[in-house]
Amino acid sequence: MLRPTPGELLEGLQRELTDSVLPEVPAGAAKRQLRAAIHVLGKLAQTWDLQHKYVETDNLDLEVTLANLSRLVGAERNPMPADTETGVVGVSDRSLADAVSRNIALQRELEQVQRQYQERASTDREFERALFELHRRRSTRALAATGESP
Amino acid sequence: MTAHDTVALAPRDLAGRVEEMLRRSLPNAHDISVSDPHRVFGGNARTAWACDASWTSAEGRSKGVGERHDESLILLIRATGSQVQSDPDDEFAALDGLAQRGVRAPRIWAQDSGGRLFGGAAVLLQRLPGRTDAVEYLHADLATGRARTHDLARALAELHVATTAADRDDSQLAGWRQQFEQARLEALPEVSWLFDWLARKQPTHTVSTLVHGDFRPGNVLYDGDRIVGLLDWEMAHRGSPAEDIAWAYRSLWSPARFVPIEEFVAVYHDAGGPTITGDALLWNRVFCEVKFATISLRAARSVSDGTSHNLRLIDRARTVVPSVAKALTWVDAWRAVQPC
Repeated sequence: MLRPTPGELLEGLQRELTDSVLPEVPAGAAKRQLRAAIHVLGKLAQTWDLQHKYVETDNLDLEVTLANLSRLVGAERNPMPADTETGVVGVSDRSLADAVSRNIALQRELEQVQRQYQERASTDREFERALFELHRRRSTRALAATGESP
Repeated sequence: MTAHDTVALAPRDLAGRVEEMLRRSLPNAHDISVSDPHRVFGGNARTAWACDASWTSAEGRSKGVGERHDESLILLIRATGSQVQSDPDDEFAALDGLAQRGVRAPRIWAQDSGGRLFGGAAVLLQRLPGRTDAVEYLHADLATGRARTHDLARALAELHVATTAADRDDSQLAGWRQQFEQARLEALPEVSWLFDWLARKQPTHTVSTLVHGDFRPGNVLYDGDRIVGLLDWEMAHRGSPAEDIAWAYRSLWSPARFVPIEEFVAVYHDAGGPTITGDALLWNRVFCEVKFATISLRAARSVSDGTSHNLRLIDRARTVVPSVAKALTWVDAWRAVQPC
């Protein structure tokens, strides 16, 4: 059972709410709420199937770059534990939930690495460049995954 | 009573509370009367009502004839779950007296920052003429939009000139960082990195003025090509005047289609505005993206924790992504002109 896909369903909901329901709702708070909901449905219709690959790619990039950053400052990595037991709210697929938990842990590790670097007296241009480029790649990836434009 | 409950109040009851506000604020006034307030759009963060009030001031009483005042007023009540964390007393103090100093700001007639009368911090302002509509402003014909944006630069210069002082307040960055750390739903190390960058590169010698804090085409009243009033002062604070220009030129609401930012700064300088350096402007462009990202995260959290039911805020966390992308672009521009 593949059709209609979740994207088709979301697009259909967005279309029918826009064409059939919105014109019948009087101006006011309810209409503003409905407009906002239609907007979110449109975003979801564009991006619902991008999330798994986005998170997996981001995790790989974070793993590789964190290892590189540790090497550059001559320190051992100090990975944060990923909570893969309690699950992730709104995610029912186990492998996606694990990837999201891992991403949350990697983000925390990166923040700790940044904090430790900030506390150092010296600067390391190569470290700073690698960190900046990581943020650029993650930002570009997130733009694509959320359907936002810069 | 909450600010939300105020919506259900009968107009006469609401008018009675406005009268009480005025009575407390103007102890020497008598014969105060207030028309039934009607609801007007006040944005995401406030509910708003318009009404008219009349009173007789005490000055004329000794002569046997009181001086009658007729004022158009707007009542603003802060909504629960606001994405902006600010002290109403600070806002009202910032706004108080500006109109009398030639700034295009509404006069404050009364305030209830404790929320006793309406369940949320409330302020009663002079209702200025003109229109406020960001979409209409940004879609105006080029000649009107250009003239109006030139006047926007002059109105901003007037505010900054009237409020220039020697004191500095560098607490904004730390304050926004604290809000970010409280509001975020995940670590977002790229935003932390931007806060670190801003702390390292903060300009040390800049003039201090009152900063409007939310200065943009959607927060002004205009009449044709003239700016009549600056609205929504809840993020006002002391700081660098460059912040207001950087905020006005955020891509979401920028008037750059009419006037490029460099020309805006030139008109602002011609009107007597304090010197804005390229460094200060670039730093503030990064800062404004981080500030917007933090406001977005507060908005998203207010829905996720149930303090707001506004669906316009439900996916606001997504807007952090383009803000970070833009801020990284400004950082790169900074690196291009000077060493890290």
